Amino acid sequence: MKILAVDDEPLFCEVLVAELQNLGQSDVHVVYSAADALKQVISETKPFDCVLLDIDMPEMTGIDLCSLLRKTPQTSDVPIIMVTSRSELDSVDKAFAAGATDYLVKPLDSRELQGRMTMAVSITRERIARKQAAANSNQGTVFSFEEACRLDIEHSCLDYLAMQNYVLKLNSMQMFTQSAVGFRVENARELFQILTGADFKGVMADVAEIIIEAIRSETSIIAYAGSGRFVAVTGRYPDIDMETFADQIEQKLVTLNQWYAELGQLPVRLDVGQPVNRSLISLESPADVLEKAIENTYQPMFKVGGQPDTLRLGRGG
Amino acid sequence: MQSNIRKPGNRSRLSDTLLAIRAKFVGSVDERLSVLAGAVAILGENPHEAEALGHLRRECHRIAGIAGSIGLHEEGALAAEIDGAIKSDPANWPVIKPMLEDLITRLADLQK
Repeated sequence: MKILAVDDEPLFCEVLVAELQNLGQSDVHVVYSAADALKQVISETKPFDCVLLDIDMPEMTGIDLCSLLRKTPQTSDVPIIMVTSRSELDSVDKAFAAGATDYLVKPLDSRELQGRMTMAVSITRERIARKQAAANSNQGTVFSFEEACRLDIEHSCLDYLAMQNYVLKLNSMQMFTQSAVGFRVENARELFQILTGADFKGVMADVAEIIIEAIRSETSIIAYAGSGRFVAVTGRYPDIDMETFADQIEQKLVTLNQWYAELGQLPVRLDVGQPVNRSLISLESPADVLEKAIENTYQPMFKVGGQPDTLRLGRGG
Repeated sequence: MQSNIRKPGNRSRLSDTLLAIRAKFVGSVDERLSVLAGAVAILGENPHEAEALGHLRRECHRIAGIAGSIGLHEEGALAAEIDGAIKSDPANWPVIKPMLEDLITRLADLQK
């Protein structure tokens, strides 16, 4: 696996390289600034498979660099792991919102690094297999209905694996007190069968934007879980007013569906699940909270989409 | 793609590597002390001097990042505490100063 490590402390880079070599990763390239990282990413003929980023660097922070790397084709879908002394919730939130896949806190723990690299190797294998399949089929990107891909929206949208890592990180900091809300495009399969893969992803990105705009919270994050399903994690206090929230989604979805109608495209019908709250003493794992939020969409609290059969099911489904 | 299986014997080689990096860190202490002492001198005169606080915080942050990873846990934790103290209240020089003096002493002791 070809790895780029970015940290302005050369001795820490040496530690990182040594630890990675111990894990069998010897193709490690080191740079000491965000600007050099961008140059390196763009100039390499063979793209990097994984990027490790410090946060506090002069001139450009690792969080800003992470955002830029997500907009750069060579690194848009590679694992980006923050390796930082910053352990505050604010930094964790911003890093994941900027597109980080995972977050490691210094001092470096070799077992934690090993876990992250195992994840990165697995993502890289899947990515290579997808590209290979696309090349063999001559169809460009191969995209399955179930694939929990990363959606191309401006802010606060993670891939599902990163969302799982985010809630696990919050949990390890004893900070996971957020609400998780699930959403499901009820006619997603129908849309998938009609549209091209890229167009289907575009529709899912439109829906994600509508949801994140309706939540109207800077720290809210959404992930696409595949099969037309989403999960959003948002601050628990104050409680989400689900009635108002559903109204806002409804309004935005009506506008979106009018535009789709002009394009001759099917409207989107969206089911909204009951929120799942988790207390600090809960025995439920953070990943289970996400799954439960998605499950709740199958007995939705609200059905929205500006259709004649739009329903308000109220609390309890 | 490379295997991520840990090979027997790699751990001891890594320990040697970490010891070598730690020796380099100790070799860099003079330079780091000079940054810290320079900031102390300026902040002693004017505790609100933003540039000196910035240099101080930056150096402490860098020490916090590396020290714990090469076995200098107390020095790393102390540097992180100073970094955090400056971030939360840059004007709190009476709290920052004794911690900084402790860090300077500990770093200087590494060279003995």
